[in-house]
Amino acid sequence: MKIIRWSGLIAFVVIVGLITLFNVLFLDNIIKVVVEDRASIALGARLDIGDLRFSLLGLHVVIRDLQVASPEQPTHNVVEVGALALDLAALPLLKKKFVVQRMKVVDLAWDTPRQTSGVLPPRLQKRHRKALDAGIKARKGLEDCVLPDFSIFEELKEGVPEDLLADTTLPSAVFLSAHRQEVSEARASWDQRLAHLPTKKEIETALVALKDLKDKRPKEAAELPGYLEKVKAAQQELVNIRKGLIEARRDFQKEIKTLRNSLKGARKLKGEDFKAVWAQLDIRVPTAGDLICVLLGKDLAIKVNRTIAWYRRLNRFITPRGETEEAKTRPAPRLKGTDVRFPITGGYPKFLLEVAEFSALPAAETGSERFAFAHLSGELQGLTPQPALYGKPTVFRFKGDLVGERPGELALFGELDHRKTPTDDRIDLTIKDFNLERSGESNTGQPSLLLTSAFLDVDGSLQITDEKLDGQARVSVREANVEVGSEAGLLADLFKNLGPFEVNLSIGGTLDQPVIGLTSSATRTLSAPLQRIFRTKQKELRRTLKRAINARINRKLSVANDEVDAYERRILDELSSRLALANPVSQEHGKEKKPSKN
Amino acid sequence: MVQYIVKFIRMMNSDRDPRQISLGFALGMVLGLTPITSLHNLLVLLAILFFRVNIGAAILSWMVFSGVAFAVDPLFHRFGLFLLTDVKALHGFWTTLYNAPLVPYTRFNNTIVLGSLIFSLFAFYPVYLGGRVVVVKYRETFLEHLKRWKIVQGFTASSLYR
Repeated sequence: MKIIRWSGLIAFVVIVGLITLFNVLFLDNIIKVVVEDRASIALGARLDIGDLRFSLLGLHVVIRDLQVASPEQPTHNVVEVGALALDLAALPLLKKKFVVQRMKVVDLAWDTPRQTSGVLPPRLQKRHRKALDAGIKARKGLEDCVLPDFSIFEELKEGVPEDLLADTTLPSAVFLSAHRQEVSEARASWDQRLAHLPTKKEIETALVALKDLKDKRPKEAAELPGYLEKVKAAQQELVNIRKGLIEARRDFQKEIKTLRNSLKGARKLKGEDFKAVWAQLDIRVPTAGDLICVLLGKDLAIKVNRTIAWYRRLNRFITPRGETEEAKTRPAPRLKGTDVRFPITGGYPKFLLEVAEFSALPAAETGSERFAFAHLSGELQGLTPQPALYGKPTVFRFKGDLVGERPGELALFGELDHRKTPTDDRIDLTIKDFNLERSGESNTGQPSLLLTSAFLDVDGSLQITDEKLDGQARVSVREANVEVGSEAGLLADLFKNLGPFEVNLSIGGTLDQPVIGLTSSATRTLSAPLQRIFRTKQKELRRTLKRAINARINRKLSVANDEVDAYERRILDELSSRLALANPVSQEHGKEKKPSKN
Repeated sequence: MVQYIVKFIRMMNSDRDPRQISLGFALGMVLGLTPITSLHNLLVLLAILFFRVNIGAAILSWMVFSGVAFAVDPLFHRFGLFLLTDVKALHGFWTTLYNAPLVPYTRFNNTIVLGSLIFSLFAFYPVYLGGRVVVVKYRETFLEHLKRWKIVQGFTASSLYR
């Protein structure tokens, strides 16, 4: 039997040949689609490549019109690249290592508009893992600093609205309400007591009974002692009624006096009322530091945070993790398994970008919140996830000239040394004469205080040792123009003659929890006038509030007094009328008067 | 593909060498159990086409073992993970392979690729031997019996079989 089937070999060669031919013919497109998909998944926004050419023989790749959409703003590109060319090393490829010997990126542009949406297509959205560091913010809240609400000073000029006092739990109102309750309870108690005291009818019955007794005086002397005894008892009953009524009247007068006296206490609560209203208004007086934070510190802190977020991504890339351990803990996708990584023992790392050169597209725009470069070029060396194997630190340096009448300069330098632990990284940034210009409708959404234009010089450095941050940035501000919104109108004069000042940011904490502090030379200049403005305004406001509280208490007291008067009148009238009926003198007078009337 | 399956049945019913059928079956098993896109499968494919093994048996075996692989891939993953990470004695060997030219493209460091490949290699000879025994036994005991069945007679008389 023949072992070899030559026709099979030919079929195999044809199959492999067809596959190879297909790859050669469509390799550019295959690579393009793979790169687009993988990068889009990693970035969380679309990455589009206009054209990709791959030369298999020279291992040379040229990419044109590369656009990276912004995940936050899909109508814009974070970055756009005119052309990108790279040379791959052949020998490392045999070991599945991607070594980019030289990369050249030209016509870089930032924040350019897109013609199509940059949202990740649904098929890729499922595979995209959100960046872990998206939500990390620095402590001390510089990014969130806002001006307190000053509008109350203007609103209360016209007077204190009744609603404000009504909405506040005023001690005097509580007191008067309690007093009212007390009066009401006393009234109920006296109504009850009056019901228990002898009524007019009972008094009259007692009087009639006495009178009848007196009229039926016995003629026999023997019956006289018994009769006198009965008269005495009837008289005693009347005396007791009278005594009870007199005692009740005395008690009531005493009680009403106490109630009246306690009402006076409401006047003493004016001060407490004022404190309650003041607390309710929650007037926070901004410090000069707050103003500087809103003007510049907030934006600087946001930029520092973004830089740290970018560094975190880079740091994750260049610091290899324990892949073997990860493979053990990570659940394996069905029918796909898990790739276990082993150490690279020699030669090139798994991935290496030896040298990359960058140059930006010159911008025509002048004066903006963003950097517009007349010229920008830079270099990145030794980017690899295995720096110890490569043996050199990752270094990047960029230098550029800014567009403008007074062209500024930018220089950025970084050295990330992850060859051994602790890692030792440093990033330096110098900017000279950056012409900042922005309009009132800026991204903050609160245009109450806005640094609309200024010239900035920045000198910053950040040292990162392992996870620990240590850095500072000095920003010198010249020719600053500040736009004060209507809500913060009372600060308008404060910034009229604002001279040059410095803002210093200190960066500390760790990569996971950065801490950004702010100091400024302008706080000294602004503090005294700011305090003066607010002292005057607060004084005015206090006066207005006190007046309103006084008027309110007087009004309420008058109502309460009227209520007590009415109550007193009702009870005293009732008691007096009963007493008058039970009083023998008045009875006698009545007796005497009645016939005369008739 | 149907043609190859028919050829396989014809071969089973003929007096041709049973080793061709069992070798095809064993090679098909390797194709079926290991992920199809692995580089070693190119060699298996080359072996099937280049050597006189029964392609029908290989296709049938590939289809059957692909289904089996779907069910047992968690076991292959655990086996592969055990070999790659837990056997310390092999760590140096894997590291050498990982750093050797071309070997990384075989994806040997993937848990399922390694687990299923090692299992298939161990199972290869028993499957080959077992297959041969089955073919011989089939021809000796079942073939005559089957030939009496009407359905089999109808099938063997059909143009598809001829």
